[in-house]
Amino acid sequence: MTLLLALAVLPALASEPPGDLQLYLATADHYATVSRVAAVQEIRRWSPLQLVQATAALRRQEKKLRARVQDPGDIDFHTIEAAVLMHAEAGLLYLQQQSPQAAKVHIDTAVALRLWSVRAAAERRNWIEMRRHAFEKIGRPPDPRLELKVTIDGTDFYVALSAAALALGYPHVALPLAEQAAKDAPFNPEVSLVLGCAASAQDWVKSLEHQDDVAAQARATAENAWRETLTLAPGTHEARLRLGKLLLDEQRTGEAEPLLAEVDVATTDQRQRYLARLFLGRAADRRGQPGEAVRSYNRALEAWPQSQAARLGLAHALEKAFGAGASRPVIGEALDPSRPRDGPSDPWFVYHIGPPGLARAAFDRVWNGTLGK
Amino acid sequence: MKALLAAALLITPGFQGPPVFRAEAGVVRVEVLVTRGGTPVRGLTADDFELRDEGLLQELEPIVEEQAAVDAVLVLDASGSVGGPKLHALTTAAEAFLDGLRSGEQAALLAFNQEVQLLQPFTAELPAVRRALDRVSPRGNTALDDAVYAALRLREPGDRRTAVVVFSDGIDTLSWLSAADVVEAAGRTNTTVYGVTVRGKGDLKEPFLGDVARKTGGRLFEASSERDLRARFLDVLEDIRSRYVLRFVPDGTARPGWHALDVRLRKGKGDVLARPGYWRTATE
Repeated sequence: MTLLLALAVLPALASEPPGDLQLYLATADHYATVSRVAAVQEIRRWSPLQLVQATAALRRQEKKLRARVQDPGDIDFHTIEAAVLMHAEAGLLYLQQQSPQAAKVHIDTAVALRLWSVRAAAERRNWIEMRRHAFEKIGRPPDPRLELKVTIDGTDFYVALSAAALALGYPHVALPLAEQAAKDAPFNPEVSLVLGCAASAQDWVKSLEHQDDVAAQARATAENAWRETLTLAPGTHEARLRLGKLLLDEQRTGEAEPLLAEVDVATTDQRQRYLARLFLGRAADRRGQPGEAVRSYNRALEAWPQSQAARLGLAHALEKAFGAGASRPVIGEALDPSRPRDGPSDPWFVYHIGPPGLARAAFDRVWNGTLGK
Repeated sequence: MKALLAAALLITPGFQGPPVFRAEAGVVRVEVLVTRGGTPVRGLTADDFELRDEGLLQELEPIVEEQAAVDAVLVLDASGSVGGPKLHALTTAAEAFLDGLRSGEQAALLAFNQEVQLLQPFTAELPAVRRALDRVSPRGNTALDDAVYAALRLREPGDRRTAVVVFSDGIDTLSWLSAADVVEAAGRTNTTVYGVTVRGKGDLKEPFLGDVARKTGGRLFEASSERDLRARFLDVLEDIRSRYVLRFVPDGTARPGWHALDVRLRKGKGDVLARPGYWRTATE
């Protein structure tokens, strides 16, 4: 259906596209003004070589960038920014379809194109400043169309891409993007939160792959990032929750428990409260306090009644405290097909891919800010 | 119809199904496999075995019959990696295993991705288990450790032998319980765990299935490809059928806690596989 729509809207692009700049700009303009879906569908048909050809041709036309198109040959700067977002969206779509190689082509193109556009705008600004005196001398101000205004917020751009790549299960894609965001905005608590999440997910994956050195490095990055978040914005319970879990995994239970207990008391988010209590259950179990673990798991179930993870933890804690017989009724409940399962799925299942909504919020900010709602 | 027939057979006077063992207070049951050159050795009696509990020689009860009834829990990986031909091969293998169960023996079916699902509780109506295989729908992550724990605690230990047969093609990615916790819990059960895996050259290896199998006296079978799965499931069945069930009332070793077991042949050559110990509670 979408393909048919694309073909209907873009009849000129229906055949195999060459790496042609005009066609490329038409696709980006279509993305900005007509249909994001159709344009993304179209650009995904381009081969990497065709993309390289088109973007190389674009770079050679830097002097023709204008804030508004008036003369033949002018290139609308807004179209270039649309192309950045078009490639970003195409890349994320490939990630969603589990094609990381194809995703990399588009995400790399989006990042490179954005860096080039920012640099081009800065150089144009310098060029105008240097010539302002000459313009004033002849009594004619510089053409306002020469001034290129960057509308894509760089921090939001990297946060959106990183958080989305993480949510789609690709921490190795998310981490460098989050690191770039942290370089650009070192004192932004949202950036350090995302960086921590991406690094922590990388730790998770590398630990599974038994790449212990890489995992430890990622874990250290995550810890530092979340500590930074809490320094910059002490009320960020998500960072406190995740730091607590990380410390728990590192067997630093004494440091973890106060953080998790604080989240349990202070947060208004039921998901965070559930996870804090779940993790506190494990912490008590680690300390050899199964009775306390039973209490925490029961409290986790109060916060998230459908949770299977909390029931399994509870069963295991009961077994430790009272013997295997005590665990069976809870296992029965955990496996009961009539157990209430409506509503969102257990937050534990998606814990490793970052807090929900983070990618969407940043995505909306950057796309709406650039393309309008 | 088949279920009705099976039920009729069970209540018919004179019908002799496979024997089950009574759960008697204080009796410890140990399933033992004896092989020579990889082939199971059959026809042994209790006199052929020597069993030590914490180093103390124990008196074994006579082996009633080596072919005791076995109930099985099939625990199947339904994560995203088990799709297409692999799923077909897996369900075919599981069906072959179910076909090998005897009248009166029961089976249950668990499937797991990030969540553990009981697709069929214990039933002697095996066609119901076969039908439940159709509901194995691969997607998502792998909570292997959680699934094995749930299988081990699915029902009260009783007078029936129980085997947990676990298939997974990958590594645990999302269990709440740790592998160490589940292996330890496996030591507190009479259930024997069998693992079946199929792994490619570059696939990650995980010791969990082997560890939990060893802890219960079970075995890990590795399929070279998905085409090999059926044969490995049938190997599990043969292993189960080839076991002796040794029973003894511990003498001189009443303390609660972990009891190390050592099972050997008195004479003759053969490899003996049995669980390395059992857990004795204060009330036993």
